Amino acid sequence: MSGRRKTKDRAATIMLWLVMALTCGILALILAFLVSRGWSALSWEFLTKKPRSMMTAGGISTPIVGTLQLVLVSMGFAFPVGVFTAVYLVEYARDDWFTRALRLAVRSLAGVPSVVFGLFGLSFFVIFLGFGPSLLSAGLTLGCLALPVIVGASESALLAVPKDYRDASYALGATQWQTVRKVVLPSAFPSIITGAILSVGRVAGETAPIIFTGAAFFAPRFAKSIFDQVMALPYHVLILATAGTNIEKTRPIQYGTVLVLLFFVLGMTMTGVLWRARLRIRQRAQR
Amino acid sequence: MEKDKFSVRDLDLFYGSNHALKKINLQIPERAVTALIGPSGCGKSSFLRCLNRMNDFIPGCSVKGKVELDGSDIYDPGTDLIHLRRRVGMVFQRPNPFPMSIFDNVAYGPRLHGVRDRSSLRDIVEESLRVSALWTEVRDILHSPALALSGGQQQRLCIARAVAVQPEVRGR
Repeated sequence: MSGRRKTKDRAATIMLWLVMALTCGILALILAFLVSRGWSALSWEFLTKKPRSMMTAGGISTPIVGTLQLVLVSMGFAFPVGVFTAVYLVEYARDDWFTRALRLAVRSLAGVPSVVFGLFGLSFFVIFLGFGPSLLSAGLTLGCLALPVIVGASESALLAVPKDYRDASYALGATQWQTVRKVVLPSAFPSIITGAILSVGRVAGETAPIIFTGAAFFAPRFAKSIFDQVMALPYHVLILATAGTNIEKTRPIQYGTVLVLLFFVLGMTMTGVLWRARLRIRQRAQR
Repeated sequence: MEKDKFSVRDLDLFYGSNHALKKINLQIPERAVTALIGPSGCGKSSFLRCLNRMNDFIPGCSVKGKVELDGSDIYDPGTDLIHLRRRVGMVFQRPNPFPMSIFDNVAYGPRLHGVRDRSSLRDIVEESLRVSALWTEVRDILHSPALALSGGQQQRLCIARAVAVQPEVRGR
């Protein structure tokens, strides 16, 4: 029956290859579609000039800067809070019902739809705390979105640090905080950073959390204070596609914006994934 | 007359309900080498970990009896564990150097306890590496990664690291 087995093996290999080709094909199709429609709009001017004439001409420098500012604010909140939450969960928390509930809460946060984050941001940051629609409100809302991703990645990174290192540190007379600060965190840091890079890609592309909390339809200047509103790439795409004054004319700009956003998000994701793969190889070699 | 550095009386060790060490009574004299010999898994490491309370880190582990270091029971609730672990040094079965340079590994302990001055650290590192017979091999590569050393060198590095905090007792 070895002939039958060989045929089945070949058939399975071919099927898996086809499925993989299908997945790559979908990605290639999306890219081809977007590039063909948006390539004409891309230029150095496009990236560095502000939109003019009701956004039918000019560039997208304001949304680009706005997206970068949103990334900075959201990471400024989510990165330290997320990393130290993970430190608490892995190094300090006892294995009781409270810790389990805390873990469940963080994981559940990852499943909350982004529009719900937007509404939360509106009622809490914008209205209740009185920050108003602003870079701060939108950034903090995005930060809440990124939080479970960072906590998850940091937890994995911390759990991957070998117990041996902690034992050695304690046996030399270190306190728990000294051990975390001098051995565990530095060892886990590259993986933690990778998780942060991946969440940057996620945060940059989100529209719903920023619509109600601080994204502006149009801003003549870059945001100078954290209480100013900001333009943002994903939101810019949305308004060009639906609410612009001359949708036909702005179509290439719309696709150009999509391409810029896509390259940024893909760039971040690929950097994160490739770096994480390199780290894993290096860690395995050390064992 | 030789004093006893450690005096262990009626020591019982439990891992949960597993009675691992049964009524150990042992005197360990100072300024001497005491060797524990036994088959694999008989409890040698478990016993050693009782001497610097590293067993505190193992959940479900409980200790009964007295372990006296220079006459004071180290299982007294008021014991300063940081100070204890500095006085009682320990090297592990498997070498476990930190993912840092050779220098930083040996200097880790002294830095923990407040030594900041660069030249003091250099002296301590050199002295400790001489004691563990590693100095001549690594004197020119002190700032290269410790993990690049061979297994035997790594273990000697761990000895140097333990010695650097100048413990009164060395267990391994």
